[in-house]
Amino acid sequence: MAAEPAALKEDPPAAEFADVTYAWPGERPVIKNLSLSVPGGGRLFISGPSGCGKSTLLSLAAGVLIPQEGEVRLSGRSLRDLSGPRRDRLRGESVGYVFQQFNLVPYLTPLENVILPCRFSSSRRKRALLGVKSLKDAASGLLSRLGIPAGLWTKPSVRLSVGQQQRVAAARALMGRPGILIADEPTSALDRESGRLFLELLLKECGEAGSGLLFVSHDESLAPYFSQRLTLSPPDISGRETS
Amino acid sequence: MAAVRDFFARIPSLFFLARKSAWNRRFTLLLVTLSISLSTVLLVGLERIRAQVRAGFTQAVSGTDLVVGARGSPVQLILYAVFHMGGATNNMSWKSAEEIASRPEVAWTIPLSMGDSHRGYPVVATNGDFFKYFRHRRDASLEFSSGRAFADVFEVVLGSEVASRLGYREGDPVVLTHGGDVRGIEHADKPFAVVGILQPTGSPVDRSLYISLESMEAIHVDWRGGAPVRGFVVPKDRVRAFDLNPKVITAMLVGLKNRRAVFTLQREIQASQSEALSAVLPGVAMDQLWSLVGGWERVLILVSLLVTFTGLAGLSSTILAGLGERRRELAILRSTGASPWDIVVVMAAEGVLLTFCGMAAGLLVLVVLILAAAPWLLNNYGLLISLSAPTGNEWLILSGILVLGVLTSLVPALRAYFLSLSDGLSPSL
Repeated sequence: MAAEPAALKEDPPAAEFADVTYAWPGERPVIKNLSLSVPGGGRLFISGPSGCGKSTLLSLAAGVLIPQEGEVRLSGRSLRDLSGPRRDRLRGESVGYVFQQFNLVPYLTPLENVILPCRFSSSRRKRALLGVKSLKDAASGLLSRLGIPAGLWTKPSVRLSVGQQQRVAAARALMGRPGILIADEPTSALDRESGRLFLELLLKECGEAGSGLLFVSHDESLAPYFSQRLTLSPPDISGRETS
Repeated sequence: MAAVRDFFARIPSLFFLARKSAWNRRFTLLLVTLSISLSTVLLVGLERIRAQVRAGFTQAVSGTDLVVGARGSPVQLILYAVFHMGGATNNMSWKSAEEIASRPEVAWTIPLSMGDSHRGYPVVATNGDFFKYFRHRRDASLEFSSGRAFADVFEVVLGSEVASRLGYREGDPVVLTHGGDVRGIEHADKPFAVVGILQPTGSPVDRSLYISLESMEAIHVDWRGGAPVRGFVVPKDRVRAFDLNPKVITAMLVGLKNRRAVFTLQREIQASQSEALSAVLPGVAMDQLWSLVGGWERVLILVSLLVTFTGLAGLSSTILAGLGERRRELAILRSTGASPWDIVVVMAAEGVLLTFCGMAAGLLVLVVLILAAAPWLLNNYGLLISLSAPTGNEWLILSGILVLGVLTSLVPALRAYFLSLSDGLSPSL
């Protein structure tokens, strides 16, 4: 099933927001009546000023937060009716996440970091093992495609440069081909050129894995790489999706 | 159900993470582990010493079914017959002793006659049956570390502590002192020769000297009423001309063929018309005595419990203190699919692993300590501490430490749970 090209199937969207409203306790809604849909393999560029709710949106998409109104669906499965642990499980199964920086668990090697999602999700593990002998092989393949020298794979993660750490994080997010990859300003700690190279690699691998991409960035110069974009407005003004 | 199965399937992974994380901060956690080791050493070590002291005390005459002496208080009888402390106010006659020994239900008797001492150590006159029938520590019999039992008058056998403290060896001369006081009159004209030294027993035997009943008579042939008779001296080589058979003894240990007869025999001895005697079951009286002197037990247990609580509080607070800088790490774990409950397991597992390592290290230290200190403890304190598998009480202590370790580990674990729940993927650092 996973071997079939995603485009040929009538797949549900990788991530879908239907009229979503979210407010932090005691505050005005930071996300108001937001609707968006990222199809399987789709690419969405999200930008907006600080405090416009980008992080909140990503937490909603990852199922860490639950909207007060509306519904978030990952691969067609609604997060609303799932219990906390089930949402965590669904996240482990179908979401790859890349932080702005400090992505790696410091006491694990790059290789162990990449395998980490497979420790929490068995379906992620099964998908990662398709076509390879071991999780280590799967992780090694990703690390070498993302340009991490083999000599660093089993070194302490803290020895890696910031750029290398971001690429290891991308490998981890891609491990086991999750339905959607969420990246929260992953290039902001990199210089412009490295950021561009990182994004190109990320897009290529997302394409290979058939994963959709939610990409948050301040860097408008990266927007042309994306098929969809969403500009979040400052609080009180509802966001609009543009294409 | 599937969720529960799923959760258990993740446990090895969660322990893997806990182990990696703990190892990463091993230098910070070393102190905590050490304090848990110290708690283990203290609790288990003190329990072992306590059990051995108690066994050495309450099992000082383990094979004995009845202790018989002149009528008096049971505790006092035990004090002088078993621990050779204080003196008997009255003796019992040799005739009564022989009568009891000849009863069909009696398997053996050990007559004891006390009153003399040597440099503060009590001298006990008895016969060969002492070496044959005396039992301590459940069923341990007396063994000689050198020499043999006394066979003639003026021969003395030493307990191990007497020999080692006073530096006596086989063949050395020993002069006895009349009475229990170091400054009493010496039986200087009738010195004894050391013919044997007993192995350590951890019982009052170690602190006593043993001579035959005949020797006891022999050194007192020229004495009357507790003092030498003026102008009447019997030289050492002439004492055999006198009747050296004992007329009175201080007390007698009695072993029965069948223990069930003990209450009947006790009643009959106490009801004896010919002489006013007491017969005491040593177990009961010695438990009474122990409850009198054993109060330090509770103090020790209390102190070591406090040490344990301190150690575990250290464990809990060290993990708690490290939590702030680990919020990022918790968010990463959540982002890769960990639930807050997984976080609880990782954090608690860390505490449990540390407790476990601390306990293992503590037991190792204890083994080394026992091996190194056992001879010294035996020589200086008469404590027979040996290496053996943990006893029931010790297992209880070990599992108690582990359970407390798990419980205290839950404190930082639950804190991490709530942090992780409120932080989600974006820790507010």
